[in-house]
Amino acid sequence: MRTLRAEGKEESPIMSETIDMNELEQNAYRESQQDGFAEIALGITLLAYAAFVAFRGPFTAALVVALLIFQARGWEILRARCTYPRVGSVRLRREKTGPVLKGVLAYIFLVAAALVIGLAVFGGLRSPSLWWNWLPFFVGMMLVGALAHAHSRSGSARYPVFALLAAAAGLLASLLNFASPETRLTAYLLAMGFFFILAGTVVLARFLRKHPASAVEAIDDRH
Amino acid sequence: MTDTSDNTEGRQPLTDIDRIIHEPARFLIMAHLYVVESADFLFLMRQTSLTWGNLSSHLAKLEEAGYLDIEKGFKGKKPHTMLSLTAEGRSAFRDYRQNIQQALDDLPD
Repeated sequence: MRTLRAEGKEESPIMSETIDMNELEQNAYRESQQDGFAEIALGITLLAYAAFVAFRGPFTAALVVALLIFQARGWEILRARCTYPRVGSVRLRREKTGPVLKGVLAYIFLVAAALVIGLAVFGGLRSPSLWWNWLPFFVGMMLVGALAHAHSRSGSARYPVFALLAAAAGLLASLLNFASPETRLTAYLLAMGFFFILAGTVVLARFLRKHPASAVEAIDDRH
Repeated sequence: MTDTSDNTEGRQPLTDIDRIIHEPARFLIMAHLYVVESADFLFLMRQTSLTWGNLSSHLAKLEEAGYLDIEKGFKGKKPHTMLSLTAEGRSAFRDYRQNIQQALDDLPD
């Protein structure tokens, strides 16, 4: 029996297969991200942040800004050269900036407030180094937020796993002893950066093996 | 005054059902395009499991109806065609969903 589920709210019989608009949208998102480039991009960004925390200075600051501005375009060019056509191409609908920004700010506020309360109750608010020590956990929770958003848009099972790892690694980095607070944060960012690059490379390798370019040449020629 | 008896209300949406979209393959194409900004031919072919010829002919019908916008260009050195729903197409798809939903909801159990 087919059913039409309009935005997952109501269900009425119409044809003979399930059409779930929300699922279709999630599927399109998954398809657009299955080459692993998003994970590699996140990993590179985290490495740039690590370089900024470790070295400071205008060069590393410029590197971070340049990555934020030009990275998306760079990956698009790389996609066109390396992974297109294979599975085709899809442009996702842009999310409305206002609600997304509000959600991000509310999430940052909630995590920061929870951390302040947690530190006040369990650690006291005396030592400034205490704040620095818990920065990796805070960054980890920011990654959890971003990955939870990616999961809600894609329904992909790999994002909750990544989120769990990011939070656990943040907690571990905050609890372990390091020479300085900067070293602690740098180590966490480096570890997560390399992890996401590795994860993205594995996803990319699987994608290239699963979807050989030769399989679509015939279609491409005709089109 | 318009007749607003129960029977008429129940049948009214059926006359409004868009025959272009009502064909299952075209409905599927429009549903896939509705949830994205645009997609290329290969993406739609994989998602809908339609053959090249079948998809082409349905796309031509949708374009003819003014529901589809076709943007030809290049991706690197490869020719690349992106397809998207026009504002009219989006509106027609929304209306179709609403009408079919209403028509089915009005049926007695």
